[in-house]
Amino acid sequence: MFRRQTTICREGWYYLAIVALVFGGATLKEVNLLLILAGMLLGPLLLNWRAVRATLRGLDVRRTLPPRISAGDFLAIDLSLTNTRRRWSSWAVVVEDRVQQEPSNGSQKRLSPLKPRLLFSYVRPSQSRKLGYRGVLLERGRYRFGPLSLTTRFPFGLFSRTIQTGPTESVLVLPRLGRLTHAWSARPFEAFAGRDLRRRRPGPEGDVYGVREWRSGDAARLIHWRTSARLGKLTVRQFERQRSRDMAVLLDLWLPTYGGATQEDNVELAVSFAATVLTDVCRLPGSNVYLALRNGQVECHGGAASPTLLQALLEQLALVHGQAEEVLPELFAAALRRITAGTEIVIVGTRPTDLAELLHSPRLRGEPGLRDSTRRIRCIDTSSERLAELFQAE
Amino acid sequence: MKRFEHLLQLNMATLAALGAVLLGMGERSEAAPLLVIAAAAISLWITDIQQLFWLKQKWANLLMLLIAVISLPDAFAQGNELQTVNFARFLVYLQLILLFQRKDERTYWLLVMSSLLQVVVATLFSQGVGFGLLLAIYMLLGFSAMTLLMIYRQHRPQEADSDLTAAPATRKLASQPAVARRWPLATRSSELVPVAVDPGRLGLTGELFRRVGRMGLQTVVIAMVLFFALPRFGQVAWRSGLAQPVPMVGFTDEVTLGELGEAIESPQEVMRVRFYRYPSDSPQPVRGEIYLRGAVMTVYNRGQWQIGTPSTELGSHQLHRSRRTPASGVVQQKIAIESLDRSELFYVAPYLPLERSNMHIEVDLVQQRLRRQAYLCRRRFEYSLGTTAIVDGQQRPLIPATGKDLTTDCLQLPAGEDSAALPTLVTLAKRWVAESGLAADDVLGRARCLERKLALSPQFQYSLAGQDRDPDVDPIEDFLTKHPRGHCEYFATALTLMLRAVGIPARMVSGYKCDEWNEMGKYYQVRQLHAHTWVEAYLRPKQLPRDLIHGADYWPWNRAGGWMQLDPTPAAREEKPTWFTPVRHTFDWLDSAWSNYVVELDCQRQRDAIYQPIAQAATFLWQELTSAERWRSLFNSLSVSLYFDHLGRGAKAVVLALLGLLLVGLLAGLLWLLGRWLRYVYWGNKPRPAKRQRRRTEIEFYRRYEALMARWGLVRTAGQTQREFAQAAAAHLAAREDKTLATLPELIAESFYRVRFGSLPLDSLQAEAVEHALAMLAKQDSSRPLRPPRRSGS
Repeated sequence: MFRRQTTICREGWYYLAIVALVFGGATLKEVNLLLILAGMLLGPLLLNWRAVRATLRGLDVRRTLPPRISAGDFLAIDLSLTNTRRRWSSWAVVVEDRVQQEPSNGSQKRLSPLKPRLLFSYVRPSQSRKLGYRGVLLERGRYRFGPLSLTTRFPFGLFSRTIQTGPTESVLVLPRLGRLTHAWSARPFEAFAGRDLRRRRPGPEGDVYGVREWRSGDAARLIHWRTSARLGKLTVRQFERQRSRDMAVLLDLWLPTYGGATQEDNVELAVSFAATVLTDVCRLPGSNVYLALRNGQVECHGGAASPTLLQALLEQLALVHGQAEEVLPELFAAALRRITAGTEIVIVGTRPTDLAELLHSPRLRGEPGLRDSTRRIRCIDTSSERLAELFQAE
Repeated sequence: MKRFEHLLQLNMATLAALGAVLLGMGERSEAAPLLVIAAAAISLWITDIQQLFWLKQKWANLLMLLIAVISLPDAFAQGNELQTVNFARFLVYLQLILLFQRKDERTYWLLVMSSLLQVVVATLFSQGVGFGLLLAIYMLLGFSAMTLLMIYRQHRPQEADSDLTAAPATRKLASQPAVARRWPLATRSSELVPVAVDPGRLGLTGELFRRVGRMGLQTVVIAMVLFFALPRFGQVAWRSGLAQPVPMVGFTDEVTLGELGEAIESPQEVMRVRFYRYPSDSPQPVRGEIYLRGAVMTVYNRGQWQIGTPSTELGSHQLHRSRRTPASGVVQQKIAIESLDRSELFYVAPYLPLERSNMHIEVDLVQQRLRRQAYLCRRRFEYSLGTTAIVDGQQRPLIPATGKDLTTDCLQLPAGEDSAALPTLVTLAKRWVAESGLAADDVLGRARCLERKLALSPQFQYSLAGQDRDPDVDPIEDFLTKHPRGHCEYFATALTLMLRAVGIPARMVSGYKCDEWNEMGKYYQVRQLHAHTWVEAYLRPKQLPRDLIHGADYWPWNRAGGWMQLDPTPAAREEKPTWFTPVRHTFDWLDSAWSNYVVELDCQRQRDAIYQPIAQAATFLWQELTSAERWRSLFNSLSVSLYFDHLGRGAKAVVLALLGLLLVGLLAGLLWLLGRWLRYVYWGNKPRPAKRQRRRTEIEFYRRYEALMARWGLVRTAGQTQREFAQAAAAHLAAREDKTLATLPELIAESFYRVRFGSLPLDSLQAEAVEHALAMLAKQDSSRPLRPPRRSGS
């Protein structure tokens, strides 16, 4: 979209009033010198009008966006202004970007756009100048960047011209990742519904395949003392990665129609938790991971764990939002159609889940694999204070 | 940024000072400019740079209110001129307060506006070319100030934002109140702040100031076009009634010897005199000095000259225009006299009214002088009269007598005819005449003898310095006996009285004697320092020198005789031309042009100087272009020059037509090249073929895409749009479970539409995305077996 607009500024109106006064005085009182002065005052008006049009001509502005970003991450965006003209420099060009969060499906929330403003004081002919803005985007979702507005008042500040140019781009802000506590990995089946399947706590997973230098945060029990003594610095053992783990995350983002801030927080916690869990599982090679959620319609995405899949799942999570309808049985059904036997099912919800009621839901009646899967269901309620035992949002 | 602010402050202070100087020029007062210049310098140092003192906002407001309460009622209560003066003073006081305030956008803007209003007021008073030149400098300073102010205004919000540059997000967000929320990010809000601008790159380059200067020149052109194009109406010049008349210091109609102290030679312009042949209006070259008569004085008493009593019943009347065109020998003198505090008009005597003479001249027969009407004294006044005294480019010293101007006063000596009052003068005059041995009837010889004695005798010295005189004797006696030093009035008085002492009627004339010829403008520039007094001695008809008689058709020489002009004042040291003389002449010429065509421009002059020449030029051009005879003659001369005049009529016409076409083609080519060059120079546009080439290159990606899709077995049908083809391709790719690939055709199609139909080039990121998509398709393609192509639309 291209839009051009030339307006007279407030100071321009004052100036115009003085010009009119002088010109009126000159013609009514018949004073030649006043008429000369009126002409001299008229000159800047006309030249400023022409200059603001000329200053923005031949300017090309480009934005450099990061490929992806998580909510709350430090964001650095560079704008490069190129003066393609051969002779004339440009002065005092203000470039204003517009960063607007796009409403996702069914979301009622509409945030006012952010408008970072950069002043390019001087760009020589056939040269570029780069400036940037920094900050954070705290809400996940798709953000539209642009169009860019180029504004100038050069040279006298009486007229202002704005053109909108540059590409409109979008960036998906992924959910904020938190930190899973030791309790999550140590007791994976503790919360399985109806059962108490406590497993032997595993030590450091896998066989030792090498050593590396000690880094802050490494457990003391991992230190390989013999090597440390030989090298003269602390060295820790490295183990093979965890064995594969199949997991399906069912995201039930129930949000009452007139929900308050607490319910909204629960939704965000649920999304962040799900994102963290999926990221954690996708690190394990050979795992299969699934995500069932309602994003407009109930869907279950997943497959073999990989960075690409994780990216796709995080993108789904970036756009998901809470809903007031009951969708858990449908999520369950969608997941059952994709998952294989032995897959852990983690129901992440914003309210306590009545598993018995869920399993007896008419929607799930006759679903294949239902009976087998009931032994591997784990329910996480983000409205519960006990969430802190498993997950810490950051 | 600090240095930039200082530059802005310096610019503002200079602007304020210059605005006040312009106002002072108009008001002819030094107080306001000196006050503002001092305040601007002091405030620049202690308020702006050192920041030692400034008026707080509330005190500044209070002071402004106080000044408004004191000044403005006066401005509305009194007369027109005083109203303006009071308003100007109010502006000066306002500016003083603003100068001592801490500067921000508002203060700077008010400073500019108050200074501008001062200049507006100044234009109501001022008139000289010096004002015009300063106005141009003021305009450039104003442009510079407004440009710097605009940059300053743009940087202020940027600076405020980038105060948080060290850790923009965290610092800014830390200031927001934390609310207990379970989702930690909910306690904050998104924020994007600019990175600090390098203050050293504000763009204050020579190019910026050159550009502002160029805008100044363009503004002058705009102002000139507006000024000269706007039609004037009414008969008088568009000039403010508030302009102050210049006090006349050299000329007076009542001379008192000894009254004047040291004479000041003021270079202030009084009038400009041009000579034209009449009625042809071609310039008449004149050499040497000219005497411009003002007032005639005949009665002397104890050092004081007065106008005598008229011999007959005389009055005054308006100058009548002549109804007949004078015969040859008449020269028109066009005189433009400045706004002066006296009404006398000056002329080369004798004068003749002409058809074009100004109707606002009053002839005062009692005092033998011309006057302008009182209300015209405040304006520059132009009048033209004829004269017969300019013969062969020189002024003749003989003036015809009218018969009524020869009164008994012209023979009167103080206290009767005895020598009691002026014994030395009478004795000396008689002795000098006796010594000359001239006969009694050689009046002219005797008069010249006395003139030479006074002018050439080393005993008498010309001096402008004040001279103490003996109060017990007549000043002229003192001059002749004790202190023979004095200026023109002493010499003229001495000669007049000496002539009377030997029986020759004489009178004293005051006016101007000018020799300052401006070669550039072809006029005499008369200044205050050219004020002069001289003597006229009466000669009977038989005593007149025949070779000096002029205008015999107009003047009764044989009946009334004439007055011989005598100047006994020794010649002052001739001023040698210096390097500054041409500069001064140029400046004088500029002043003349400024006065004639700017300050005094009226309906008539606008028509004569602007509209008529343009109309004449346009008419001439049209006539030249539409004259068949002219074209025929041009073609004939061309055919002779190019050696094809021997051809037949038809062949000649063909050759000429071809030549015409060639000429038109050349002109069109030149215009095209000019346009191309202008586009290149000003807009930096690339030539069109290159533009097309670029677009072709940009759509090339779609051709590559189609080639790739063909290897997948997908070919776009003739009736299928790019978008439809993309949808078909996406469906095909999705069916093969390549969902990631399925989005690519649409991306490429959208890019194609943008370039092909939106005329928008792809930016680097878009181009990169397209290339990436093509690479992905190519990679995928190479890993799969090819299928035979099929029509995707089928």
